[in-house]
Amino acid sequence: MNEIMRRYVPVHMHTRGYSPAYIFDRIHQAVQAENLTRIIPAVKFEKGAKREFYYFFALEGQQLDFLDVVQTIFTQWGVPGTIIRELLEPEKIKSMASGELETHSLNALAYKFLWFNDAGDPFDLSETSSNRKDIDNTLFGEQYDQLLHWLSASAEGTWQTFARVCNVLKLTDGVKDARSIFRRLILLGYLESSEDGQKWSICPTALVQCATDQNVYILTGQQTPMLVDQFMEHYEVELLPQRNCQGPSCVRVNGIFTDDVALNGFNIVRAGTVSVQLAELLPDLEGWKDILPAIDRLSTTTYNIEIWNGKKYIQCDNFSERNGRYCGDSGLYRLTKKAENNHYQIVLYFDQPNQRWLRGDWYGLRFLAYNSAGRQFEVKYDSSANEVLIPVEEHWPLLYERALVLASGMLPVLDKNFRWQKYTNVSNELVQLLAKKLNVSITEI
Amino acid sequence: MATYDEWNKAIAEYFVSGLPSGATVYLSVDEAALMDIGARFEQSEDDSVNWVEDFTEAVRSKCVIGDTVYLPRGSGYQPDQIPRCVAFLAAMVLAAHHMIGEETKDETILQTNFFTRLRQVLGLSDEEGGRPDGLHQTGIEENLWQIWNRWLIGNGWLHSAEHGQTTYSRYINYPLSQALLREADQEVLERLFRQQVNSGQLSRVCDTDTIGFWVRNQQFGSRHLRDLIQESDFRRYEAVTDAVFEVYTSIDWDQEFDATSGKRRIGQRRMTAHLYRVEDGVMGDVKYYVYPRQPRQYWSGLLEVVHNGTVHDLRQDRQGWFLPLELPVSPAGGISYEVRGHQRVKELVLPERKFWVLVPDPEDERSGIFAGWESPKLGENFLLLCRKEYSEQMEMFRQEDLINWDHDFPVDDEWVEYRGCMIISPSWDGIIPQHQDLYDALKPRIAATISLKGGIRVPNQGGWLEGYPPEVTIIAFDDSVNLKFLDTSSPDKPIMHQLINTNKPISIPSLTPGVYLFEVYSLGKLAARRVLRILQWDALECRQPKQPFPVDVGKFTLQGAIINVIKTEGQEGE
Repeated sequence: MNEIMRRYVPVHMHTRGYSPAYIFDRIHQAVQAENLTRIIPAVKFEKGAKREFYYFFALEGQQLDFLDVVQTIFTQWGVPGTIIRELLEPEKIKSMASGELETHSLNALAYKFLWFNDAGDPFDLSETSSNRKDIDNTLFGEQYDQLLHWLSASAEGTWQTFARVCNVLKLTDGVKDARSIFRRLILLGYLESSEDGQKWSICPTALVQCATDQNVYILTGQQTPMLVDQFMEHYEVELLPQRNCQGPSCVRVNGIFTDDVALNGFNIVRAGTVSVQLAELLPDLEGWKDILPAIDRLSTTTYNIEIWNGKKYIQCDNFSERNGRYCGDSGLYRLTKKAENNHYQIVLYFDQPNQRWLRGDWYGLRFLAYNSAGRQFEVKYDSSANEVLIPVEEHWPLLYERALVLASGMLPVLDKNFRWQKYTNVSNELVQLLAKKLNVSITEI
Repeated sequence: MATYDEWNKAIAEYFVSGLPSGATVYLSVDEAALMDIGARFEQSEDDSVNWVEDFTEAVRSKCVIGDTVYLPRGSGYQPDQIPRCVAFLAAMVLAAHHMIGEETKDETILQTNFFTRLRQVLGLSDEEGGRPDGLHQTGIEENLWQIWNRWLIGNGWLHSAEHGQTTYSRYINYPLSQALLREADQEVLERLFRQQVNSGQLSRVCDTDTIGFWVRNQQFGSRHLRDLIQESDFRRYEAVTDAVFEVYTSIDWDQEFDATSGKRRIGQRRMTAHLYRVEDGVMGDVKYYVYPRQPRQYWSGLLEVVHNGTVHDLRQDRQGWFLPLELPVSPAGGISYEVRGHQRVKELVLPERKFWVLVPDPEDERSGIFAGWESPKLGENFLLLCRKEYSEQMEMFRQEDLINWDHDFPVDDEWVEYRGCMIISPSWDGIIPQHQDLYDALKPRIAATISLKGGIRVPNQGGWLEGYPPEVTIIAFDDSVNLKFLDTSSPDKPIMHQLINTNKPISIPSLTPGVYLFEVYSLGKLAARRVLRILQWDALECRQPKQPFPVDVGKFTLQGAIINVIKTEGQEGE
């Protein structure tokens, strides 16, 4: 039970020219200076008080005679008003005030709402700034390495924390650019994410054989400086910066591996020529669409709906639900919750014939949208250089692009016109397999 | 018989197991703890072995020759870096536990009594009294306590053993401070719990907070117990609450309390769960799950929870907690589940509650997940989930400028979430609440919080990476506090020791890898402590995710570069 009771002392203000803010400031200074915040913890003012009004200061654990002390202090510190020698309970002071009362604590913390999270879709790459400029900044490379090492030690986490750490490492200015980094790390085989992109987990370390050179392997999955050093002690290792410093260094190991490798009790899986294996196993485009996760019973009436028009999202007012059917074209949509205090966004592909809302990587869903609109896709292939060029606007779905990237362990680079992405160490067999799955025509250059 | 070194290691591990990083450790060694530890040597619950005797024999064999005590060498560590003095210190605490009914304000008598008990534990003659040979030099054992304290801090925990403030209590305060509930205290508490449950005043399935508040409103005859329960020191408050709660959860309600033997039976143990809240941003749903707390001194072994015929494995989430069960529940609680896999732990209980105070994940504050990991700290947002009958009380608290929040959100017809809550005033004493339980839960018990935000933190390794330290802010109701900031490898040369302004970030020098300690003093008393570890990049180790996300591509799964082809039924036979 509380033995110290809070009661209030009324103070009559009949002199003009003193605002509640001024009075509070005076009392605050007096009480702080005289170390009385535990005895006089708060002040109540009438809302909208103007000429003549009462204010009430709280007094805890004291009797009426203490008001003499208070009076002396108030006079000394120039606190205006006439103290009325009464100790009133909170209910009683309400009747004295002409309006509603508001309380101001004399030793309170400033209230802050600290919950600021990005409500956007972690997969949405529609608004990321172009990071395809030539960046000759070796520091970026080191910071990407640090990012990978932190991811490997943490093992798993949330998208929000991933974005924050990218910011701390100065790899991005904001959350949206972190989405591109997220995708690139997945492409390189370091991370996987939950279906909604809200969580990530590190992948096991693996040795992946290059598609065009059987004696060269790249290290994917989790890596720390300690692990890389241990590799260097036993094998011939090169650290190749990603072109344009867009990701962690590619750890290239020269040698012949016939089995998994154990280094001081840590197991590294020998994964083989993953790029070709993946290309063989992946379904075709329709098959891939069939296995994409779908959102059940999505009620579109609670969302604001936009559709991707090839360059940006535009308002889509002709999408509707009638008699349990969605009425609208197949395409890439961005849905934003209309509820107050909930502005979550999600980007989905609407598969009109099958009445399904599908979730996946943004480029992949965009690819589906273009496909449903009848676009003919093409790539260029240079068999002498083992390089394939894919139009930036026709970026492949992540799983298929991963097969290209894992052929060399290197991210693609833009050509000088910023229209094509170039992937290296891509064998003819690999590009043929993948192009067939995606219904893409190949032009030899 | 277990050796001294085996006891040493087992005791150290026992008292830190299940404790999250930053928790305060009490080496609260009593006979029940020794029996529990001893049983683990042989992986059996056989009560016939007197492990207390085994322990004292082990300590005597190492530390006593004839009538003389030989302290373990201060520089000695076991191969796994546990200091070799722990078992001896445990013997000192055991002696403190044996001081039943010897409460006195006369410190000279207290000191004499303690050493009499210690002589008994060490098998020395107690006729002479006072310090035995080998310990005659006053304070010679203090170094061992400091070694233990440094080991705790170096591993991310906070120590609790400290010297007394007077000449006579200076050194005996170390073991006395560790003896929380003595055997007699535990018996008194068990009798009281049984009496109150039988009369319907108390439920059998309360949680820690409820028991903590309830016991502080009771009257006790024993001065030691009274002082302990009313302890205001923030470091002891939670330890005492946990110790009392452990008595409560150890009670086997289906068996009579054996009053004649005077000994408590360590029988059934119950695990309690908290609530784990997740929000689906897309659908706007809020879901609550059962979040089991690990039993204190839980060491290993597979535990399972059975619900409606389905078995759920309990897997570790972090120190002190299992992963939440995939069992959505109502916040009303009041549910119990069968537990299998341990002779002692029989059930898991989600207590019945009218409100829950949930904080963001301390390991990942931006995860959007809230649970009852700890009490809200000053200056931090938390979430209050409560029955709508508390709404009027919450409005009253806001009108008195005690608490504020961003918005409330009705979960259903009965429950509401107050989101973005923050306690903003310390002046709760003068308020007469409508609901005492909510008032007790929200009223701040701490004067300051050491906030460490930002930087690059490595979850579960309790530290920040070199070059990316956190931003440090001391949150307090007072405008200024005294801050001591030191490197634990040089505790006598603080890096900072000065008056600082609160509620704004402070500047600290660039830090090399190591373990640092912040101590905040307000009005001359220790108000907050926090360990800060700075980790070396080169020392980072790979951890395995508890929840990997392999991509399901129909005929195979993919995890990074690792392809697992799913064999069909026909292929499995090949």
